[in-house]
Amino acid sequence: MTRFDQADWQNRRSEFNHQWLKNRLLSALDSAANVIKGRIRGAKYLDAIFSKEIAEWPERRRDLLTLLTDFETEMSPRRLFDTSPFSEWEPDIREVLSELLHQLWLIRYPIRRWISDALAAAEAVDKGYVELVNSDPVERNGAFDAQFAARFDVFREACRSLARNIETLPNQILVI
Amino acid sequence: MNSVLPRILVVDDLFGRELPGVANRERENLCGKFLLAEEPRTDSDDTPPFEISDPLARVVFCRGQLPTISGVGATVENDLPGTIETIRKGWTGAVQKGDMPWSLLLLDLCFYTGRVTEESNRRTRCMPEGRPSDDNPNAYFGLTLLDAIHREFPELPIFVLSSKPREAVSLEFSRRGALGFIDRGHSRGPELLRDALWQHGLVADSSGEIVGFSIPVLLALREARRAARHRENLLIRGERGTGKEVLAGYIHRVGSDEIWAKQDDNAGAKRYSPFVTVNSAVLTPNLFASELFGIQPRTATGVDGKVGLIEIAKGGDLFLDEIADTPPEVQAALLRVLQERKIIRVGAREPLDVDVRFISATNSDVEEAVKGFRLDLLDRLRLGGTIWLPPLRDRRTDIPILTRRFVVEAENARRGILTREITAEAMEKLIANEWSGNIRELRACLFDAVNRHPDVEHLVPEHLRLATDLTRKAGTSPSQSEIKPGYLERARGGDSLPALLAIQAGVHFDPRNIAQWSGRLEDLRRGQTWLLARYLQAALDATKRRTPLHPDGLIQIHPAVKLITGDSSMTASKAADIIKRILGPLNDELQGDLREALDIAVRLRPRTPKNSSTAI
Repeated sequence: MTRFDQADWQNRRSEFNHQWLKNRLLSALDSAANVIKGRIRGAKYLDAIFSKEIAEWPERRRDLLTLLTDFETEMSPRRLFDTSPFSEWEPDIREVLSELLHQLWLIRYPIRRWISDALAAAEAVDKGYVELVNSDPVERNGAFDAQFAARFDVFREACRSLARNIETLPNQILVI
Repeated sequence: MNSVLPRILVVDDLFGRELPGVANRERENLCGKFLLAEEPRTDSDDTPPFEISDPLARVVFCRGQLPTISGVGATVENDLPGTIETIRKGWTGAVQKGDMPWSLLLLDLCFYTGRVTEESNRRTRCMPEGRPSDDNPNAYFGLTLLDAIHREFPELPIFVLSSKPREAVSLEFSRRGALGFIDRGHSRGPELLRDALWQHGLVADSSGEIVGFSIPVLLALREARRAARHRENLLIRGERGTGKEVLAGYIHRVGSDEIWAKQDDNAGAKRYSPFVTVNSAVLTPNLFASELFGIQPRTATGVDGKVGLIEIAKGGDLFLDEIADTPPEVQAALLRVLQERKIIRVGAREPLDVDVRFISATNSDVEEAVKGFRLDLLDRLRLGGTIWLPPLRDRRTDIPILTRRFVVEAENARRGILTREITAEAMEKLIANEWSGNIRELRACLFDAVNRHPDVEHLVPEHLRLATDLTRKAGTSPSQSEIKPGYLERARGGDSLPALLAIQAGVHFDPRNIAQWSGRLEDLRRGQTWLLARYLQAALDATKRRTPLHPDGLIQIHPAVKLITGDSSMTASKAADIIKRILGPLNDELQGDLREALDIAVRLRPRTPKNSSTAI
């Protein structure tokens, strides 16, 4: 069996989910949670998290949507037919068999459900982001506004859920 | 910063890298998430971006790679020797200075190497592109590090801290000595780290009752914390004056969650439970029943009732000191209580249920038949485990901190006593002493010194009245060395090397007192030679080849020398040379395995090579 070059999609997934979402954003949000709970004192630090890590979401969201849209194309086993010896077959045969393999793959694995779950998770993050940035992180007597704290928690959980959904996507091309 | 706080080392390419002119945001956020206070660095003026009101631990970061600062165009490579050296400084180096060693090491798995390009720098500042092999779970640099670290520092607790999938590496990191895995992205990450520190970390007693940062003491505290989590009976063993009762108190405290509950988000009311100490004087055949079980009140006869010590300890802990001295009648009664978990008060008919953990202590070898101690009782008393307390001579690096504590205590105990500094010479004398009475003897010595000299500002060697003198008589055979098998060897069959190195580091030859050490070169040389010979003997024992024809084993000099040098590429002829250098000076005195090893080495290498030296 020929190995596929699936490195590009995997690299992009790793960059988004591992390097940015988990290593940067979620880590920053967990730290910010400690500020909101009063375990850490640092108003400027919280401001920096909003202006740096959280503010990256709109751009990262575009990358994510492209990533999810590309999954079915780049990780389908039909790509097998782009490699030798299958690439040397008759075009008609290749077209029929590759489409057959692709459809079997879609039936065998809940690919489209995985993608729609990930898109829904992204939408939840987006919604949480909008509500959060429109909240006022007023701090009185060392405690943050309850509505702000609640929206922050919703956003943080949505991000964690998104990371889990992206991890569900297979890390190699699945061949039946 | 609180010096009793645990001290964690994080070895990670992302968090350990330094950024030119700006803070490492990923590192800051990790510290904020896990409530870790980064130790100030001497080469940096950076101030932390936040203040943690109650940090879990102090933290130091190490990239595990070179260079630590890598701009665009730099090539980043993994650095095993440098990382080991960083760990060594905070482990052996810290112990020798009497500082807290690493409480825990958090180790990343995947380290990215290669060139830092514009693109990779844009994605994550100062990080390289990475090579395909970096992301191979079978070849993670973190696993290589784990191997090397665990080999050199087997007592250092290591956890993997990574956002990579655990399943791919769980077998490998378990095999290589890591104690657990913390997912960086886990929502309960901070709780998991706190739990890891509590269960596995080498953490000092934050209350200050048990003083010390030496590894034997931290290991004992760790065993105590692990044991404290269950309600099974425990046995504490150690020489007299090592602090067995204090350790029992520690077990009770941590078991009651007093210390850790305050860190909990959902901390409820603190749970307090009784801690009762039984005075061994009451465990006599005439008194024990009424003292331990109590007396049933009988109004008809006017007998006043009395609640026994076991009942007072209900729900908590009962401490029995010097259990080996307990008379047979008391042993039989205790055995019944431990078997049935019930007591009957004197004069009562109905038994009472008891939920008490018995913490016993002894400085004796209770297993010896001549002691007459019931082994079935012993088994029940140590059902939850045995904790060994080290003698003071195995934790000499703690003597300075103990000394300062006791001197202050003595000064505060009486009015009008001047505060004093302890001179370096006095401290050396204290460190070098044998302390057969351990901490209690040290305390008594210092109280004596302070009380007899209340009006001085300096504690000097002449103020100290010691029971023993460590000075060796000339001509004493080094093979009867005073470094007797101590706590570490007895308890674990392991080596006392860390303690020995600590002792050696503390030895000082005073140029103002040459009478004490002049003319002793030959003794010192023989001492060192015999020490190396014993080291080699252990390696010969460990590498013996046992066969049906030779059940006692055949010695193998090549594997033995590889073991002591840690050099797996050592040749047989070089191993023979090393054997000759170690054992040659003792040629006329050798017997047994060492004699045989030297004979084999001489047969292999009859002549000494021209470029050899006398040093190994």
